[in-house]
Amino acid sequence: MSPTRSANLDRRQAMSAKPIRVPAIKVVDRRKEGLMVTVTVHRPGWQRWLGGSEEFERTFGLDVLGRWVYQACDGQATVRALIDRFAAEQNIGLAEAEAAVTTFLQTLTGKGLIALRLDRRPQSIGCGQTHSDRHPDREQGG
Amino acid sequence: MPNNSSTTSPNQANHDLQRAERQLKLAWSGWQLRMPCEWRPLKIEGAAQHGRLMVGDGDETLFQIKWSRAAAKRFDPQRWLAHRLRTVGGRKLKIEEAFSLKDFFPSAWLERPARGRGRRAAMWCGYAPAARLLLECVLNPLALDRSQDQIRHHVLPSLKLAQSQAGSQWAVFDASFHIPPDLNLIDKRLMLGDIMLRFAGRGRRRLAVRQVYPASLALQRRSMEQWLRAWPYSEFRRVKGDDSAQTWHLDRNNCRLAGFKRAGHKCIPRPLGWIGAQETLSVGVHDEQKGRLLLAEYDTSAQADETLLSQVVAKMDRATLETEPAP
Repeated sequence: MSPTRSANLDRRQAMSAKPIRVPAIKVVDRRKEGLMVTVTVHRPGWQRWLGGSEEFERTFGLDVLGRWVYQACDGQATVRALIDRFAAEQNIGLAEAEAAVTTFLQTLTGKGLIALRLDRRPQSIGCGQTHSDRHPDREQGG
Repeated sequence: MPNNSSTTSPNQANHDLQRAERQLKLAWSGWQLRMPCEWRPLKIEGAAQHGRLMVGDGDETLFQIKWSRAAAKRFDPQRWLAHRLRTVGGRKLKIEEAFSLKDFFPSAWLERPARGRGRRAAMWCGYAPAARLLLECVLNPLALDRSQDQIRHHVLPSLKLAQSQAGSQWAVFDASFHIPPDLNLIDKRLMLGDIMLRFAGRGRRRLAVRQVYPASLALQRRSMEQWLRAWPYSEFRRVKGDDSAQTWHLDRNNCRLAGFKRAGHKCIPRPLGWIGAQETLSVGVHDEQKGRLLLAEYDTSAQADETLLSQVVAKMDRATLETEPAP
C-alpha cells in the first residue's frame, strides 16, 4: 500500500497538504470537454503473482472542472488555497467548494493521478490550543 | 532538517483574512442569522411547525438550533423560559441578561456549570412574538473556545426573523430565496451545486425553486429546456398537451437575463385525469454574472401567475455576504 493511503491525517494537516501531479505519460486537452490523462499504474501483487506485468497504463477522462483542479495541483498550492480559488472562480460557497474539491482530490489520489506532499511539522490550532487540548478525552482514550 | 517553528505564511494569512471577511447567511423556517462562510448546516430536520438544524465546520458540530411555534392562544413566554430553566438543568441554571435582539423578546442564556471533566454547557432561548416562534440555540460544549465566542458575540446577535407579511427568506449553503407568504416548506433537496426547495399553500398551490451552479457545467450536461422539465421530485400528475418551452427574459438590476418558460396542464393519468387538474408554469434563466441557473415552477388550480414567478426568480441570490458590518 502506498504511504499516502496509509497516512492518518487530521483535517488541518490535510488542508495544509500540497497536492502534486504524478508525471503522466500522455495528456490530451480536449478543450471544452476536459482532459484525458494517461498514467502508469503499478499492478497489485496478486495480479503480478498470476503473471501480470509490473505496470500498466490507464487513461482517465476529466471534465472541465476536473481539469481545473488537476492542473492546479502544482505542488505549491495547499488544499486550502485550492478550495479558496475554486470557490472564487466558480462563484460557489466555501463549504460546497471544500466538499467538492476534497472529494475530487481523494478520487485523484486513489486513481494515482496526484500525490499529497505533507508537511510533518507539528501545527498549532490557534488561540494557544493544540489538538490534544481540544480533545482531551480522545488523547486519554488513545 | 525540518523547521519546528510554527509560523504562518503570508499567503495563509491572506486566505484567513479573506475568509474572515466573508459571511454566510443562513435562513430557515422563519429565522435567519449570519455565520462564518466556512460553517455549514450539517443536518436539517422538521418543518415549519418545529424542527432542528445543526451547524458545524469541517471538524465538528458547533451549535444546534431548535424551533417550534407557540400553539396556545394565551402563550406566556416568561413561563416557557422558566420551564426551560427547570427542565434543562434544574436549580443550578441561571438566567443571564441576554443581548438585546429586536425581534426576540424575552430571551435568555441558560448556563450549566461544568460537571466533572465536562465543560460548561450553554443554551440560548428566545421568543419572537411577531411569528410566535420559539427558538433555542444549544452550543456544543466541546467546540473550540474561539468558535463558542464567535457564536456568542457574532452569530447569535445577528439572529432575526426571516418572515414577514411580504414573504419569507430561505438561505442555505450558497443559495438564497425569497418566498411569497402563506407557503410552507414540504420538500427539500440540498445537493452540491443543486439546491431545490418546494413549498405548498392553500388551494393546492405548489412552488418549487431551484438554483443550479456552476451554470457552465450544468448547461454542458443538459440544455435549459431540459432543466425546465427535470425537477427532482416525483408526482402523480403529468404535463398534458403542448408544453414546449418558449423564450423568456427577466430584467434584474439593469441586466436582462435570458431564459425559457414552459406552461402546461398537469393532471393524473387517465381515466382519473379530471381529478385535481392543475395549471403549471415553470421559468428558468441563466444568470451569467453569478454563473447560475435560476429555476422556478408554480402549480395552481387557477391561472398560473407569471408575475409571482418573475419576482421569485428576481430575488434569487447567493447566500455569501461580502464584508458586511457586524451588528
